[in-house]
Amino acid sequence: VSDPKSLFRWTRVLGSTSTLAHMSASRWALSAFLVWYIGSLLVAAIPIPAQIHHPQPIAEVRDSALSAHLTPWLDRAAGVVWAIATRLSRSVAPIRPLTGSLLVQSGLAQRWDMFASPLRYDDYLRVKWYVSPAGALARKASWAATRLVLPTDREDRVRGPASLRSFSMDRPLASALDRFHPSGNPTDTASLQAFAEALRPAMRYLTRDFESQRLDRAERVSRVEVWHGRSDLPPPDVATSPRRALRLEVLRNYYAGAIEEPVISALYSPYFAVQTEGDIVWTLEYIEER
Amino acid sequence: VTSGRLFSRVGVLEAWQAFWFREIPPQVYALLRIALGLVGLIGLLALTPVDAFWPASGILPEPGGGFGLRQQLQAIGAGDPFGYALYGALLVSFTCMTIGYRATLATAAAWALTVLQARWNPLPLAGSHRVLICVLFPLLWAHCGRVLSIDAMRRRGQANQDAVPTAIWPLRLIRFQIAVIYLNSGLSKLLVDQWRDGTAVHYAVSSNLFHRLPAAIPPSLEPVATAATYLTLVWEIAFGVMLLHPWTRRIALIIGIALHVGMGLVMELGTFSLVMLASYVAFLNPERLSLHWITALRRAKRAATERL
Repeated sequence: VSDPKSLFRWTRVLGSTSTLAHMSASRWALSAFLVWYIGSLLVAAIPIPAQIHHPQPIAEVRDSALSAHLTPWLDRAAGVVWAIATRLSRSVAPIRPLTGSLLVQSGLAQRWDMFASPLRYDDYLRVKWYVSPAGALARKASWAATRLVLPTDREDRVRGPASLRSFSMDRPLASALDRFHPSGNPTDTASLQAFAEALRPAMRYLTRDFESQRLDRAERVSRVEVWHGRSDLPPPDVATSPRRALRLEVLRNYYAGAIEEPVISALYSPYFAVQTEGDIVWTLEYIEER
Repeated sequence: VTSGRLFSRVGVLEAWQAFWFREIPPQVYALLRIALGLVGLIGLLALTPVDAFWPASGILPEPGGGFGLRQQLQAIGAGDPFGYALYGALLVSFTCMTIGYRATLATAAAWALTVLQARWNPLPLAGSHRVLICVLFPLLWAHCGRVLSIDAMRRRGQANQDAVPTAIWPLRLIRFQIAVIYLNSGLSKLLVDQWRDGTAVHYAVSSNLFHRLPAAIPPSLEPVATAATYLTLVWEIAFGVMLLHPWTRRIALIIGIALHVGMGLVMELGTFSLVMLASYVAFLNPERLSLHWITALRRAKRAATERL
């Protein structure tokens, strides 16, 4: 394509010389690039079969006139789209290597399913730092501090333009939960390890921040725990006020700053220990001994 | 191309050339450059404090994978300086892009560094970063510094750059890219229960990670949330087709602006709404924009002369 003479010979096979006279060699080359680029975008936009989830018809249609009319139609459309997407995905599999790698390396990969699956629950993360005397060999901590780290912003106030920065701070934690949330089985060490690896960079940063702000030279953090809180979001048309008021009361304790407490017992909570506060169920999902 | 010739070989070629290689006035590219440059700068502001997201000691993935760049830099103790330098370089390139100083080079640098940024630290990045990369890429090939730029001011006295046309194909690629984003996103949504039963907007707006307003959606507004769910779904899937006719294109763009502004007002989604709205500049009619631009310039000149 880079050589106009060879391009000329090639195009003579495809069309008459009078056709060729209408387009310059550089335009032929550019056209080839455009066809490749658009083709690659389209191929890359088709998910691989494992990513296409089979839609089941909605079992219980909501008590809404619009939903009652549209949901059955959309269920049928989803079935058709799923069938076409699955077939297309298999058909383009042989040409994916030709298109995919370059797009991925150049950051032009096409995955646009953001906001496709809104969560039906609220997620929280709180970190508990156990503090021991710096020189002590024993792991026994003397005091602990707990801080809510996800979400960064308060829920009881309007989030203005400044929350743009909080969004960036929440992203590493939220995507760790989204992509690597452990299965809940204590014997599934692989999923626990993947989740720990995803959380570790943020924990390293937050722990350093806590140490610099709160600890003196004679102290050190000996254990870090991350408790994952989850609370179901009420479906539409369900009154939320009492539950919400209770939850905000719980959260306000955290908004006041890190909660500090003496450590009395030498026994630490194991993985998947559960605590409940208001309608938030906390589960211990990350432990780091230091 | 007359309808009789359209399907002949010559006709197809002419139509192809008219579609991709027609020349257009440069103002639309200048506006895109400024809009995307500003979004890039806002995105960098969002990624502060700098020590949290840029140096190797910040919230960065553990070394490994990719090109091994992070691992190698950390091994020689250059992870922190590299992170700060990357932030500085991005800041400079987006600033130069916005003001149009060496605009083509600045846009190329902004794209390359934005790709590098995603390699260096993908953890705080969201879908808006991917959109920015994909929209910047076609802009690299456009002459986006011919007007509304420091480059144009420096060239004053030379040929009138307002009148120098440029190729339409980068603009077409941006439009195509946006249509692919919406189609893909709409079809992904169709396979998800919440979008088919009409509850998706309710859950998205209520999520503690995204909502801007502290109050829950009142029951009286639930029908609006249901309608917004279906409107978003249908609009995203139909967006590409609606672009084909001027009337439906206008409707598609108006709905798009309304939805992105609405999303930006009730949800914190980083720079997503901003980058999508900035990319809508690509859907402006280049000739009409140029005409408005030249008329406004003449009026301003006449007013200035009268004042003198």
